[in-house]
Amino acid sequence: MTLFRLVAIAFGHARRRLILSMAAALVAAVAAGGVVYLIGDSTKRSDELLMTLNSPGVRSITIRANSDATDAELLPSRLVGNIAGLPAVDRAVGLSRVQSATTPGVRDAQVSVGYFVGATLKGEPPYELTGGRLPTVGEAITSASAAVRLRLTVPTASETSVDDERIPIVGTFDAPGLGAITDLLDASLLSPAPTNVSGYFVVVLIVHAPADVTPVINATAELLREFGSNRYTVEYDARAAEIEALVAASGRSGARSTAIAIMAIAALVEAAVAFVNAVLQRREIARRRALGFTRSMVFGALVIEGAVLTGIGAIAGAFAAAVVLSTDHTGINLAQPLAAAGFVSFIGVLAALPGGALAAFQDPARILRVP
Amino acid sequence: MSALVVVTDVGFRYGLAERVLDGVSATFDEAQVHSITGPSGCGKSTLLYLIGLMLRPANGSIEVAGRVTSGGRDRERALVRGEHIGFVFQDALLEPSMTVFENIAEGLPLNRPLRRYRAEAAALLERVGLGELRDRKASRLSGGQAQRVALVRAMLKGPAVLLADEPTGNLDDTSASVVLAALFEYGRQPGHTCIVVTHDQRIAAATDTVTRLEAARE
Repeated sequence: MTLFRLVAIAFGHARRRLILSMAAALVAAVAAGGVVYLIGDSTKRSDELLMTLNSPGVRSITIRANSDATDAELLPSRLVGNIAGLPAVDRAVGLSRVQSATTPGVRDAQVSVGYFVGATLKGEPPYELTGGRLPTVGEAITSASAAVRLRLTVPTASETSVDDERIPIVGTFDAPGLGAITDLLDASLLSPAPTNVSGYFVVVLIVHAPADVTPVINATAELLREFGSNRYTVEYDARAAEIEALVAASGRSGARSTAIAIMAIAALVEAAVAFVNAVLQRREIARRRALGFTRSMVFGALVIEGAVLTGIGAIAGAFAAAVVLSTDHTGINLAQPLAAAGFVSFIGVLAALPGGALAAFQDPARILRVP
Repeated sequence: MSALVVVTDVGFRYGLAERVLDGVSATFDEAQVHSITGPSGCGKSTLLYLIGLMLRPANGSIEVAGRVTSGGRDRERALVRGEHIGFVFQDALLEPSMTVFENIAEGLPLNRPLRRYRAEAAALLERVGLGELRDRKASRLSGGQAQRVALVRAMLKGPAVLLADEPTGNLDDTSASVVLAALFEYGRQPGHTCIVVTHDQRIAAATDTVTRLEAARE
């Protein structure tokens, strides 16, 4: 009964001082909404960054034989096979030295692009087939830009010329995220390697995660030791693992710092509102004390009022932020706005304590102007 | 006839200021209306607030409804005030935005259910001539009506001791007579008493006992 009456008193007072009540609820709404949005947006951006970092481009390692290497000095198939067999390697492709492909129909134009013979050594081909079919030995697929430059119509009824040998084009491909060789492949033709290739000029590896880049490079160096470390170069994005760790750690902790700052400011504002509230109703409280309210009842009514107002505001703000986030981010967990609303309500209760104490310990006789 | 309020050798001062009351003793029996009079600044209202447990005496003791309450913790004093003491202030002290009934209900201790007092509140309002105004906002009441509502608020819980501080000071004669009649009727019931602070000698003369205070100066 007592609690029920206290809640009714708190609601009644909140209704009577509507502007102050709305201010308290609004601050809570902004705080909870801000925190939910901040953390949600930060998580989303971190996830996006991690997704970007996890792209094949960041996970790729390009091993390239020296440019002046003879056919006997290419990366040996046997060793390359061992490298491709490393557990952290998801995909591997071995490519020949680049040759020149030209357009048979317009020789006068002197248009030429790169031409690779390559073998998929592990996993799916690292390039994406976008039309037609995968070629067999003696056929080729072309990148979109190479097709344009060579004035080819793909995927059918096209062919190109490589060292006077005519090669049918059976489809197109994209080569995103293949590290150092991406640009070159983007403007090239690609044909399957024959089974008797003894060596590759370039090997592209795509590892499972950015963190695998360094271990795979170390293992590759070990496997190629007999080949000679001065006979090849390795290209990779050295920042990948470092960036991944930084994003995972600092992205969220930055948002956390801002969220804590928002909470602190909200607590100060809520405390100020509660204080003003207590001062404004000094006479009302003194009257209640004269009518028999104990200090704890006065204190309780004010704290309940603070809790109710911040609770309503926090729930509204948190769910509004969740709705905004959910419009372009599907990963919103209902527990997150609930937790934020609960925490802001708790802050609201804490912030109401000084005002409640001020009200509870004021001298009613003095306020009622006892002579 | 037993004493409901016993004041024994009570002294009081506000902080370090000069003493307001010194060595005051008085007994207020049940079923009587008592008045406290005296010159301005003699401590009439202070004595009333001491009896009402709003202030603590510097020395001496005060017994209300059989309980020695001059000491004790604030909580105990507040609970005794809530159960056994009703206040009527010179200013009605109503909440303007609340209705008459809501204001009256505020006088009930929190542990008492409002629904049990609706009929009694209506009867008391009828008794003071405000039966039709139960749901009117206090802001729309005249001064006399507000004071009558304050009186009903003080009486509704049935306190043993009803304290009134210049209850008719701001009222016209008609309202004053209604308020005084209700106060006197309440105070003269068995188990109740009413103590009125007044500077109006006509009111004092109508009460059963008069306690006259002289200015106490060190």
